[in-house]
Amino acid sequence: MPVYSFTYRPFEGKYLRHFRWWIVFLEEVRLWNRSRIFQILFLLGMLQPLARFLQILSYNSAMQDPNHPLAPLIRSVTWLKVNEELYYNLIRLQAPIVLLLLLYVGAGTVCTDRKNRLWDIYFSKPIHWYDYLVGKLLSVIFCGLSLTFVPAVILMFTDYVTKKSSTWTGLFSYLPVMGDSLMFSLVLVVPSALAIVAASSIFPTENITVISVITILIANTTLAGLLSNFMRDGNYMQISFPVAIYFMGQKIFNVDRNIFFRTADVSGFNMFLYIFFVSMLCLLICIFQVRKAERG
Amino acid sequence: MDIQIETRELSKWFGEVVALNNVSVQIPSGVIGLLGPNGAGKSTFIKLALGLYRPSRGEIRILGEKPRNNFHTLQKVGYCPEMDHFVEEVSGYEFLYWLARYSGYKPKVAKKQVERAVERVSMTERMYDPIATYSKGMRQRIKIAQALLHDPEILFLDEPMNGLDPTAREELFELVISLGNEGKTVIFSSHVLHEVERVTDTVILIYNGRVLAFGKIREIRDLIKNHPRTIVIETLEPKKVYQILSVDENITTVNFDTQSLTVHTLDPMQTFKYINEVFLDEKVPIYSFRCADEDLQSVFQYLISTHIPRGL
Repeated sequence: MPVYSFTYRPFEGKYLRHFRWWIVFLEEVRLWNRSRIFQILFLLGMLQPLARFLQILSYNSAMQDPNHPLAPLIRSVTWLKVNEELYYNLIRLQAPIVLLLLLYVGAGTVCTDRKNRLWDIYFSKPIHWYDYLVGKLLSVIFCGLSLTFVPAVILMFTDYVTKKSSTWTGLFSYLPVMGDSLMFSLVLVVPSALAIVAASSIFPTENITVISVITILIANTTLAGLLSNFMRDGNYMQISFPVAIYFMGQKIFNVDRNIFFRTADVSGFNMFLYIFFVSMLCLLICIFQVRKAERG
Repeated sequence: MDIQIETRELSKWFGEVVALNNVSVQIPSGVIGLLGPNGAGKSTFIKLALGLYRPSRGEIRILGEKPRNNFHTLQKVGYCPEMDHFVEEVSGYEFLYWLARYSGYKPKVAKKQVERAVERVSMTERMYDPIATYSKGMRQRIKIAQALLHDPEILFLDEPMNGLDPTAREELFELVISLGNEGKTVIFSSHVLHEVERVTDTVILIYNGRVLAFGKIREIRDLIKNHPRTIVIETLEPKKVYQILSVDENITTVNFDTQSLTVHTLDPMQTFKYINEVFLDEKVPIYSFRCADEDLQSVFQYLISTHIPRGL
């Protein structure tokens, strides 16, 4: 270690007074972004949006060209139609891969830092516990939205561009469906991210976190299934967290074709409260665990 | 005196375990050794100073301010922890870069600061390699580099010599001394006594959560004048030497070896004088005699034995 007499100089940085979580967010995104497994999962997650992209292209070209050889076929297949339901189905079918991806990026967010004893270093820098937690949570949420809301918006834009009769004012017609897509994406991603980060803050390793989250999900859904069978009432399936999220999606998009219960029979507000309560519980766990570490 | 760190009745306990007990000290600038065995409370003291722990009682002030959640203070403080604290899969450079960003530097300045800190710990050549591939010594250097990133006024080094090879240790000694010469305050924690002696003559002796002594090593020694000192005399005739020395009233105990004897005396200067005078007259061959407990180890042991009841 050579010693330089000039080494120490006055502070040249600009102290961050706000948005310190942004640095945590950026670091987290950089960390998982380079992982090969993440890249593979993300590419898998982009397969459905790619298929939807082709669907929109083919549907719009067929619908706008009466002489198109595939036009009668495409017209006759209802699920090929480009409407609001396409975006609902897109987000709904993305759920499994989103869950996998969130588990991959979220399971290690807090427990890895604890395992590597990084909290001492982080909190010896000018950073609050809430900057840390917000940065971590937002990075996981961002990851989830990048496979749900972001592809939905790109598909909307594709639909707009491929419609020959589109005018720029036509863009505004996408606002309601864009809002619905954002709502459903948030309902899907935010509670999942909170639950995974909460588990990560409790359990010691990534593997245990993943196993625990999956076990809780299975147990929760099994309990709901048992109750609905035992009580002979399909509405008990609402207890299942994944079913509750699907249900909220249906409410948001005004779709009614649930195999467990009739959407019209259950209260969307109650279901929202249930999801909100679970999310807040997870958030409280995260806050408690990180504050405990920061408090010393 | 320029007080950098001040504590008043500072205490910290974890459940029923008292990690730090009623510590009141005023630490000036310069290199200060924080010395004590494992579990003495050194790391707790440092974490309290960094605001990582909340005091259970009393208070601590860094540069006149309470450190807890005080970004103004944290920007002036650097911390090199005892344990490894890394994101293993990233490079040393990247790890430091993000920590520099946490300290508030914009990207370009952060890069410069990282390069400067890495150069100072001689890790420039390996800075782009993943941390997982680093040796223990390299990891230690990166830890020190992250503490130096933001040019802190006060630097806390918690057992920084752990795992360093002799060359790196020597370089780190030089670095710590130079930081002290630049006017920085360096709190150098260690349980290895000669490490502390190598960088400073001012120490805080800490044991069982209590500060046993704080000051210059010589001043501390003066506090314990009444404690017997140890003198080792190398001679081929230890029994004869013993017979002669037995008349000295200051000598409390004597231990024999084949070619030496160890005497404990209440007044070493008087005993040295006596040895010189008597043995010149008696013509007993003595190869050397020296005080065996002039180092910090013995000071530490004296203080522990005077503060802690025997048998504990």
